Amino acid sequence: MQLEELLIKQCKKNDPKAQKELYLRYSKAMYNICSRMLADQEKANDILQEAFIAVFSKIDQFKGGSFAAWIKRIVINKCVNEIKKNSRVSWENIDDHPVEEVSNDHEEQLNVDFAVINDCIKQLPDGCRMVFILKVMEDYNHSDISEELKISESTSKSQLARAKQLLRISLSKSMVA
Amino acid sequence: MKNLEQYIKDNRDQMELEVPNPENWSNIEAALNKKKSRRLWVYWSAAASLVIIAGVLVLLPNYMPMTSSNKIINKGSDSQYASESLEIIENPEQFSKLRYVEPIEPNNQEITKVEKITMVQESERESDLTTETKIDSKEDQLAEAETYIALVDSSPNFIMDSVTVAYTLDSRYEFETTVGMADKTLYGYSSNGSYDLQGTVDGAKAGTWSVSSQGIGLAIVENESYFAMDEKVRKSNKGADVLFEYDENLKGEDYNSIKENDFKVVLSEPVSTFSIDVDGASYTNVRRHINDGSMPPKDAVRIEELINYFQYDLPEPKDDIPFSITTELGDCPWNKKHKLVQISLKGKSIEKAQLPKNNLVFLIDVSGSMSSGDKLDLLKKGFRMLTNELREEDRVSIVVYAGAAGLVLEPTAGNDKPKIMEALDRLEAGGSTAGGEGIELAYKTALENFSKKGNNRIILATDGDFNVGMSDQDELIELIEEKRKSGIFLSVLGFGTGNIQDGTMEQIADNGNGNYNYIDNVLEAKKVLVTEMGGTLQTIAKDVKLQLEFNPLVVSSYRLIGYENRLLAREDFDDDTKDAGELGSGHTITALYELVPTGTEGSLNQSELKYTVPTPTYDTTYSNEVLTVKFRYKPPKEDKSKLIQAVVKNNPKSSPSLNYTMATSVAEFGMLLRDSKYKGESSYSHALELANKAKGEDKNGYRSEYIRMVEKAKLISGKE
Repeated sequence: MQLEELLIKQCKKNDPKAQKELYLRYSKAMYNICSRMLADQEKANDILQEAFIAVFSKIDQFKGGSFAAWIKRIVINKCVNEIKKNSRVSWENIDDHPVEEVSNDHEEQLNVDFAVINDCIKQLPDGCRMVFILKVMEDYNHSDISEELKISESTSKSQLARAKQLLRISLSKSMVA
Repeated sequence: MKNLEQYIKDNRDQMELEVPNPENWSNIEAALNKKKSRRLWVYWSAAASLVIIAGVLVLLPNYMPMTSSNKIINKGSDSQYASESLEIIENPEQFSKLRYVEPIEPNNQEITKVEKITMVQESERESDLTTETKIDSKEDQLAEAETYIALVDSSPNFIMDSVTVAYTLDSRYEFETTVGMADKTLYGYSSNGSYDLQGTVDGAKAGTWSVSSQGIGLAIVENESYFAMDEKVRKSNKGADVLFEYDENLKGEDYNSIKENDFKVVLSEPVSTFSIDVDGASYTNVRRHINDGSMPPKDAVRIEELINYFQYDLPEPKDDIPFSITTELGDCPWNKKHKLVQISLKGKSIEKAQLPKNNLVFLIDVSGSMSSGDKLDLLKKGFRMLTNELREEDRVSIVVYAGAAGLVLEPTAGNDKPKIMEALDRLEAGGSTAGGEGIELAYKTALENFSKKGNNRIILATDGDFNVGMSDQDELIELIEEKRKSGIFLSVLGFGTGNIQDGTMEQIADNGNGNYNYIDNVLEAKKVLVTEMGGTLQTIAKDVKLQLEFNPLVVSSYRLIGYENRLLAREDFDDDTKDAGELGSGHTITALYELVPTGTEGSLNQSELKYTVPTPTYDTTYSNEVLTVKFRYKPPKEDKSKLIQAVVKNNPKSSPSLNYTMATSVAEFGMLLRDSKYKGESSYSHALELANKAKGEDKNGYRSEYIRMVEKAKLISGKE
């Protein structure tokens, strides 16, 4: 995309207008990632700022390819570090947590309010929330996730399964309510 | 289970429901400013050997809201050519808003001294910026330097933000200068030992210069006359010996070098500004070379002059506007991916009987160089033909110059033809030229007979060899610029072969609110002095400037074909003190832009502004507009400009008009002669094909003659 190339080139020259433009282009999407990952609005804003400062400081290291993917990686890294810094993420095995049986009644009519889905995702425990977001929403595969979160691939897989189960439960609850 | 995952995946775009805190940006900005000191600035202010250039940041006009009282006229015009809508801007003194891109607020309106140069060393091995240590070591070397050279580019159109100097080391240095430093721009510097430094100076006074020197060093010097053409070695005021190697091929016929306009990226330079040009001199000159069996020198080919040599079939103006505006969008014959847009003006035709009184001063060069060959004879014939057209109320005086300037014909009535003819016959060539003195006397004579409502004009006929007295081109131009204010116009007729100071003559005409024509035979004398007299001598609009704003949704980059020495800075458009070209009665002016449509592969390749980046929140309501073209002009006797604008819609014509076909043929031919880097698939055969299509009625035979000339050029060049 031409304009974006131009903006990146200008950003490499520390052009404040180009920086602002890039920020405006990506801040909303990136904020939503932060907010979902961190499940905390204030933290999400802080991390968003940190991430963009890093983006502009390191922009010389961007060597082409998808800029959106590059910027997203920085944002996700910052989010993961933040979560790990503040709490010990528990990567308990899924088997330790018996899951309630849920009926499949709602699967045919999944037109759930997206805000509700977002809320339900944010209610997931840190570990499986991260895995779920990365896998389902950010197109990471399990090997990417294992690298990013420093967990094994099988943990990633079991955390994803758990996230989906938990999500279905909370979704059906909120729909019933 | 799969469903939920897929559902979220499919709808993740719609799940971006939250918005970040608006204060985030100012925090980020503040943090970035703290970090900025990482840039590698080299400060030079302490170096005793330096003279600092004062530069001005690009001052963008203040944007003011446009009044809503603008009048739309010519809507639904009956002419198939006329623009769809023409708008008169009622308050032309206000700077008008950009239409397609949000204006950028000037980030610094103060005149700033440039005190820093960024040195960026680009090594072959790593593409990253160099480390500080490298810069330091370079700085040490520079501190020991004993000799300094700087080339200074004086092109007023120079709006690059960096200058790259290549030389025979394996690295290169780039100087980032302040954008829009107007006429003072750092260009180059010396290097160690026998390293040669070379480059092309944009808009320099002649050809291509190469420079070599001793010592290590770098300095900026003020823009002085370091580029005087006539000396091989010049001493800079810093004591360095600077060797300017003069291109001997340019000796004799001296053409100002033309640096072809490059493609500009719409997003970084949405606006293109230039002055009209009605000269046809280059065409005649090209024809002379080709008829003599040689290809013309590249710099003798000014494409806009070739295009404007021809008359185009354009509608007469309507309403209060002194010229009509016609635009046409079509395919680009030499590059299938590109488009061309043609913009044509036609000045209101005034019948000769209605023409105001002429107060003409023939300023005739009778110096020794005029005696050779046909020059003076041709000149006399031409003026006799002009004299035959004059009326009783017209006044003619003749001033000659050679060793000394003198008045040889007192102001004489236009119907006293024998007296004028006799004076013309008496003219003899001899002595050297004191052009400056002659021009002074001519202005004095014209002023004494000044006719308030009339056409006051000096017609300078010369081979342009001003070599006595005021021989410095700049000095001469200064004089003419000063005289321009008196309301007297200056037309320049170039005569003869082999001694044409083409650049001097064109500059003289441009600066004197006039036009320049090159006359090489009687027919040409007739064309210029008689057929076009109505136009050339009767100015209907002066200081005509065009400013195009391209729509980035439709056009990704653009290139103005020709008009290289007519480019204006963006802000000059709204500046009524900035001189521009004149439009005569019945004259037609055509400009072509080559456009790269948005979305064309590989189209972004040019430099962009450093300090300002357009906010690309362009308005999609204009998505069917290619560009908006604004015109500024002054009625001949007024000092305040008027502003009108027209919009070119994205509706290419199904079949191109004859005008368009002819203009594109000439442009194609011109690019071949110039060996343009943008010539694409141009060929003589194709230019001929277009010309044959566009021949039309061709009453005066100019187009047939053009076809013969292209055929001949094809033979001489041995190319298709």
